[in-house]
Amino acid sequence: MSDMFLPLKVSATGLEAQKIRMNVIASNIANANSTRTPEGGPYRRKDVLFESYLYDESSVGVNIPKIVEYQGAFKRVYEPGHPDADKEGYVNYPNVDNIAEMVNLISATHAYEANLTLITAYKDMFTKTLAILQA
Amino acid sequence: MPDKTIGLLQHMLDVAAFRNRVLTSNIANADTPGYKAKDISFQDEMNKAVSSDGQQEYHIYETATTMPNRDGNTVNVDIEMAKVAENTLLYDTAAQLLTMKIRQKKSILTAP
Repeated sequence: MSDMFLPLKVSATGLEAQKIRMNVIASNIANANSTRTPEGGPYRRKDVLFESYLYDESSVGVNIPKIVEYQGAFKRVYEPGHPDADKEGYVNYPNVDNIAEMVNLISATHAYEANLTLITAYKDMFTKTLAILQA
Repeated sequence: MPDKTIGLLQHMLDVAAFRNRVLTSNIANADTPGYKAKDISFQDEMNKAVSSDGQQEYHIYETATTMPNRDGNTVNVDIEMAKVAENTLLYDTAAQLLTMKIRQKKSILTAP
């Protein structure tokens, strides 16, 4: 018999991954108008990469190997008075699409809840197993 | 005639616990590109468990998908949650029956 609490670990990796995804979404929304970053240039939309992680044949967790920057074109807005405007008076705004981020957020929330439900389900199962001892 | 109930319930708990692991992996990987939803057949595994004794080799198969995702992921969270609910009920039933069975034996032993 392998690790008894493996299902809890697997669900925890799911929770963790979805939480990181939510952090990234929050960063994207918070920086939807940031024209300056420490690396220079406007903020770029970030996205997480999910990768499955094998515990054994039945248990497959998930992890996020890295956070990638989305290399789409910036939104160009004509604002000649803006400190970050270029010679033609255009400002490069981040390539963040707020609506896409919201949809992503809903998806992440649901996935998070699903993992949470499974933890509760497993806890209940385990409690039932313990009850056998009290027979 | 020997009573096989306890052994049967034990197999039921084993198979349900294993299936729970597989389903948990599916939920955890609901957003992993290329991940294929997996499952085991409760019926088949029970038959195998009853007819053989000793280590059980589980046959894990990829579930057929109704709507493949663009990134190659075939997990349908709603279907998986329904399976989890079903599996948990089966497990709880087996655990409850086992509890009853043990209580029964205990009462026989302690009968005045």
